[in-house]
Amino acid sequence: MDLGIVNGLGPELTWKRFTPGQPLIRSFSFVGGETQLQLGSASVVAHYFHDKQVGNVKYQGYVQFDSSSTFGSGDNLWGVLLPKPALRVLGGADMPVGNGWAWQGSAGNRNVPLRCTLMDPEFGGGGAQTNEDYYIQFFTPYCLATGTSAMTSGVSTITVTHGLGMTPVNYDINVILTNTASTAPGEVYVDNITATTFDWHVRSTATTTPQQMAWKIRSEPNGTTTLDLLVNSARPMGAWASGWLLGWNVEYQARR
Amino acid sequence: MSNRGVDAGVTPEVWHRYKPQMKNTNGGDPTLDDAGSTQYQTAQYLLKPDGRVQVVFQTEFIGTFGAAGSGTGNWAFTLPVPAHRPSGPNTSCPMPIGTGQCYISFTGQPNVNCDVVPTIADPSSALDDPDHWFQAYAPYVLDWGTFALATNTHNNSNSHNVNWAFNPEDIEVLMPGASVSQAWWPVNVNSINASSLTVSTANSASGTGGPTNLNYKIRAEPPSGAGGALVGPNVPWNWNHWVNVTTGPFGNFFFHLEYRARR
Repeated sequence: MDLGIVNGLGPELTWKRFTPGQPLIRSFSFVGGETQLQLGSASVVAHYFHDKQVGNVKYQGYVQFDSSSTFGSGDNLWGVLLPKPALRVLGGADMPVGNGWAWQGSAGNRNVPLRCTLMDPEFGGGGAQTNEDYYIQFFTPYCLATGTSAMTSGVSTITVTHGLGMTPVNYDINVILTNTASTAPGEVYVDNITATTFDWHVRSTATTTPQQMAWKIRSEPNGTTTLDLLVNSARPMGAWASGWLLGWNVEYQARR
Repeated sequence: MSNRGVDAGVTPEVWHRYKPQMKNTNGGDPTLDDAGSTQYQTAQYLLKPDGRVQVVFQTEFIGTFGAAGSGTGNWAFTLPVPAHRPSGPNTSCPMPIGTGQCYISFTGQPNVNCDVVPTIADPSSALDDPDHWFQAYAPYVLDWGTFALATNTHNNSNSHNVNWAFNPEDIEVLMPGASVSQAWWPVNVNSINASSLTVSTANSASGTGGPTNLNYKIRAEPPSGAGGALVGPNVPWNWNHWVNVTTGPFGNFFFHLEYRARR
C-alpha cells in the first residue's frame, strides 16, 4: 500500500479544483428565449491541469443532479464551462477534444457515451455569438426512450407520449407485443410521429383481451434545425431528472 | 523502417510496463492469459512529474471465455499508481478518466465490441484500496441467438443469456429464419425472467411442419441497482456463455486513461 507520495512526483501545484464563480453548465438556444438550467445543490466535481509549457488543459469532471436541480427548457444544447478559454482551430469547432457520458445513476443505470467538442460558435446565451471558446458541448450517438402501451376494448389506435426530446422516424421505433390478444391483431404499425407522440395501430380490435406492447426508441439524431445530436434538457435519455449525471474528460489547447 | 531511432528532441524512454490484473468485486476472479509469450496481456504507463498518469491497457482471458469467472460483482482493473479521487476518499467517483472497449474476438462470430466508460473504482470490500483500481460502465448488454417454437405449439419457454429480467422492448429483432408452414399471428414475448422467456403466438406457428426458429437480438438497457451497468461477467455480454469461442488472440479489454495521481 503506497498511501504516501509516489516516487518521482513533484509538489502538488498544478492540478486545481474548478469552482467557477458562474454557472458550470448553461443552456443555449439557437433563437434565444431559453430557460436556464439550475444546478441547485447538485454534486459537482471538477478539476483541471493547465500545462503552461505547451498550453494544454486537461479537464475532468461531472455533475450529478439532485432534487433541487431544474433543467431548463427551450434550449438546443448544454455547454459546460471550461477552466481556460480554448484556442479554436480554424474550421474546427466540432473537432473532438475528449469524451463524456450521460448516466441515470445507479437507480436507473441507463447511460450513453458521448463525444465532446468545443461549442459551436453560432451559439451564445440568448442567441448572440459571445463566449463559445469557454464551453464544450456533447454529441450523442442516439436518443433513448422506452415504455409500454395497451389497447383498450374495441380500440385500434393509441397515442403514446414518447418524451424523446426529438422527433424520431418510423424505423427508430421498436415494438414488441407482450400478450396474446383475444382477436388476431393483423398488422401492427406506427405513424403520426411528432416531437412528443406517436400512434400505434392494430388492424383488428379485440374486446376480451386487447393487444399490449412494449416499445423502445433508440433514435438516430435527425433534426435539421433543432440540433438533435447535441445534449440538452431532454437528450439523450428524455427529460433529465434527479440522480442523473453528466461527466466529461477532455484535453484541449488553451487560448493565449 | 526509416525512423527507428530517437526523434530529435524526444527525451529518453520514460514509459514503464506493468502487469494488468482484473478482480471480481463479488465473485470468482477471471483467469487472464499470463503466458509470457503473449503481447496481448500488457499495460504501460507514463508518470509525469506534475502528477498526471497516462495508461494504455490491454488484457485477455486465457483459453476460452469459460475463464471469465463468476459471481454478482463487477470487474475492477489495476492502475499502475493510485489515483487521486476528487470526489473525496472512499466515495464513488463517476468521472470518466479515459476511453475503453470490450471486445470478444477477431476469430469468433460476431466480432462484437462495445465502447465503455472507465472511472476510478467504487469502494468495495474486495478492493484493499480502490484508488489502485478502475472500472468501466457499459451502455447496454447484448445477447443474440435463436428462440424456438416447437412443432404444433402455441408457446415455448426459451433460455437467454442476459442474466436478469430485461424488458421486452430490449428485443430488437425477433424474426423467423425461414418460411413458416402456416399463417400465424404476430409473435409476442412474455414471462421474462433472469434466465428464460416465453415466446407465444395464438395459433400453432409451425403446424406439424416442424419447429419454427426465431432469430433474435437483445440490446438490453442495464438493470437498476449499484453496479448494474459495470463491466463484469455478464456485462456487456455474458462472457462465459461464449465457451466455444476461442479468445483473442487480440485481447478482450482495451483502455486508454489519463488521471491524476494520488500524493
